[in-house]
Amino acid sequence: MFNLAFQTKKLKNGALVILIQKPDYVQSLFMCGFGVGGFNIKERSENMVYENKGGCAHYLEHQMFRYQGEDVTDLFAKMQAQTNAFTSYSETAYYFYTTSEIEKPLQLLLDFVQNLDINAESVEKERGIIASEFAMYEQNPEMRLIKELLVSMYKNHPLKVDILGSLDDIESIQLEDLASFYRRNYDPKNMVIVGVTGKNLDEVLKEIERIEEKYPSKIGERAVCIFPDEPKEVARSKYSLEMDVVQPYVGIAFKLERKENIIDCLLYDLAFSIWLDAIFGPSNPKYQTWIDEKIITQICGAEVDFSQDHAYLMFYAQTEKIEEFKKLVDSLVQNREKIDPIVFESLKHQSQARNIRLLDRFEGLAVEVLRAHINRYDFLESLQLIDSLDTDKVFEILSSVDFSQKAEVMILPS
Amino acid sequence: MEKICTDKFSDISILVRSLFDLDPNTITAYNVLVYMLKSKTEHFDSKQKLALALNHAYGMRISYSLTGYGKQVALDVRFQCIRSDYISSDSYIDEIINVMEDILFRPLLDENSFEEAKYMLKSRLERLEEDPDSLALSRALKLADGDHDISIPIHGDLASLSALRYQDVLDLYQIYKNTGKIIFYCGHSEPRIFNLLEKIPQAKKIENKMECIQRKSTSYLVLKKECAQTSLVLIYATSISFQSPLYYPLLALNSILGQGPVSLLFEEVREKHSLCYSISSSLIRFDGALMISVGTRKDALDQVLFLIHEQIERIVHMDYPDSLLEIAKKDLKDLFLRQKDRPNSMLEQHFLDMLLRREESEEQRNKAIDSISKFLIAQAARQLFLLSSVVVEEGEDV
Repeated sequence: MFNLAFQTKKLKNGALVILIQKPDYVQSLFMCGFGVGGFNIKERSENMVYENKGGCAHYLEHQMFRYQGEDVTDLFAKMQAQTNAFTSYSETAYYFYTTSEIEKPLQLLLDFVQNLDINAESVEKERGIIASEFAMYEQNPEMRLIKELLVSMYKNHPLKVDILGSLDDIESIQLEDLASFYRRNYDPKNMVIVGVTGKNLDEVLKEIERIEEKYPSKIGERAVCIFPDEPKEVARSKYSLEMDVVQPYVGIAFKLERKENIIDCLLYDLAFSIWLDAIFGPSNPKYQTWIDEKIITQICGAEVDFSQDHAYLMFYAQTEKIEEFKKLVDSLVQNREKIDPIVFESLKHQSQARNIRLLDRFEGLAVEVLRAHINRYDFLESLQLIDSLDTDKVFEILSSVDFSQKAEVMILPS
Repeated sequence: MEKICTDKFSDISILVRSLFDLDPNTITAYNVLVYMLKSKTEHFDSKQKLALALNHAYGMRISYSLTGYGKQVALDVRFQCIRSDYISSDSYIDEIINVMEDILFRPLLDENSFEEAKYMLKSRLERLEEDPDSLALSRALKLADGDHDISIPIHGDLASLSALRYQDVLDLYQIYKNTGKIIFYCGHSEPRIFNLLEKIPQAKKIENKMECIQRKSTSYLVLKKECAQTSLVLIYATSISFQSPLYYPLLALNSILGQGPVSLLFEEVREKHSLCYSISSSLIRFDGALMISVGTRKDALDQVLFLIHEQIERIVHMDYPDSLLEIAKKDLKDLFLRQKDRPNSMLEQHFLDMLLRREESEEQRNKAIDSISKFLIAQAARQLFLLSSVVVEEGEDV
């Protein structure tokens, strides 16, 4: 019905291929992802424990864009393809998109991610670029607020470390840090190839199989992240800093109990998202009052994240009325009520539409499919989770969560 | 109404565009009006009612925006809704039509809405001032030529906002209401939506009004701000309009200079000298201008400026690999091809073709792109004239 078809195959070397056909589309996107990211600070591999510097995954991502001494971006461009990459806390992915033939860029993508071509000079050169990227994010008050909220919540968990690492990490990462990180984590066993294309999937799959024949797995078992024990309590309950801003920013985060089961994580995420849409957005009639009383401006929001190693909920706003905003958040969290069935139904429709729209967004679709595999759940089934929720179930989920661990961060005008 | 009927997309995308003269005396009021238009309608007379209706109509989206086109500004209303054959509800299209009708014909512009819009716009304008990159850009555009349209801030300004009266916005709405609209539709064919759109008064003709910014003198400004790195924005006059034979070479020039990661600025300033994470050039086509922006360390600024100048000189002297030109040509062709997968890009291209009276086929456009040479690009580069240079650097505010 939704103008697409899926094909999945596990290759002999352990790599997983997921192909999605989008008929009539001109462009193709291919993404090669690994289940490594900012969280990979402490890892276990083949009975050995390794300590990486913060930001290793991100630094390596920057360094990967060389193949046989040439800049990969230039090579893609010559094939009429554009390339990019990203590092999140738990994934690193490289991708290209093109309106032209896919064979050559596909070969290049799979070749460059499976061949490390770095040296001390290239590592050194990248340092200034990454330091500049760090500075760019550091001066953005919203990003800084979220970063400080994570630091406030977590004492040991790697969420407290920026995906880019600290400036000290960026200054100190060396060639061997990156090379050993690469050897442990960039293996076909840990690789997912996602393709979204209008082309014939059987032919594309054959091509990928052909290329991957020359890349056998070199590791016995996949490296896994070691998450240190994390106390229930927040690391610091109040923190403030000064920046050159006109109005203060305030963030309030609740450190929640993680969920063991991935489906529970997805379900809790979804239930909380619907609740947030219902109470902290225009669907709530009080939202207008908060605007009228200038408690919130256009810069305000909330986000939730349930995973198997952490869980949190945060609210933030740029506002002069800091105390009023804090009281507002407290009252929302303390007075959790069942969502009005009319509001719930409309938000359910919205959620279903979001899933349909996702299927047209090549990059978003590829990322979600990749994420689903890395976190070991079925992407298409996850889209149906919304059907298992009703107002009672959302209320039950909200009622089961402990909101006692709270952290506040303020950015005040300097 | 311009229709692109296709079953390729899950969404139907509709653009209702009105064109007005870009005027410093009204642009702030238009920003306030845009906020008010999207807030509520006669039937959906609160944010909650409108939000419920939109969510219930399977996440129907409505957005308003203002975009500059030289001496004109476009006020856009965009609708996005899932095609009806994907939704198993008999009343779905009725819901869509009800919301669209109210939004298009019955907005509720009351005083509360006006005060709220002023407050929201004030916050937004203050936020733009606090961001070093936005601050550098707005100052550079203003400094480039205070008498040219390029200096009119599309988001409005704080002084005009504080002087704005409710009645000013109501008067402006009457002008908006009586202005013929340009309507674009892309997606699955929905005859009932066509019927509704046909009720909207359509624009009889549209005209391109642009004037290339003139080469005058160069202005420099250095501001200090507490920030983590220095922002630099340079504005150049290109003196090249859409009709110029150098228009396609100018597009290639921008691509070669700094549009993306395969460009001289990216290669020399970022990759070779590690002086920044982000550097790019972009065209402000309807004002005949080119902008370069970069975030760097304060102590590297002189070197960055030297390297930028050096890259422009390399283009003037045709001193760069042929492969860069070939990539630029491929990129240009690709840009037009990629639009076919993006409804909003398709609609925008359609509008530009109408506005600029362009009737060239894809083949003719590709031929024009193929004929771009280093010599023509050098000619375009020789015309670049630095109008303004603004630096927002780390330090105490002065």
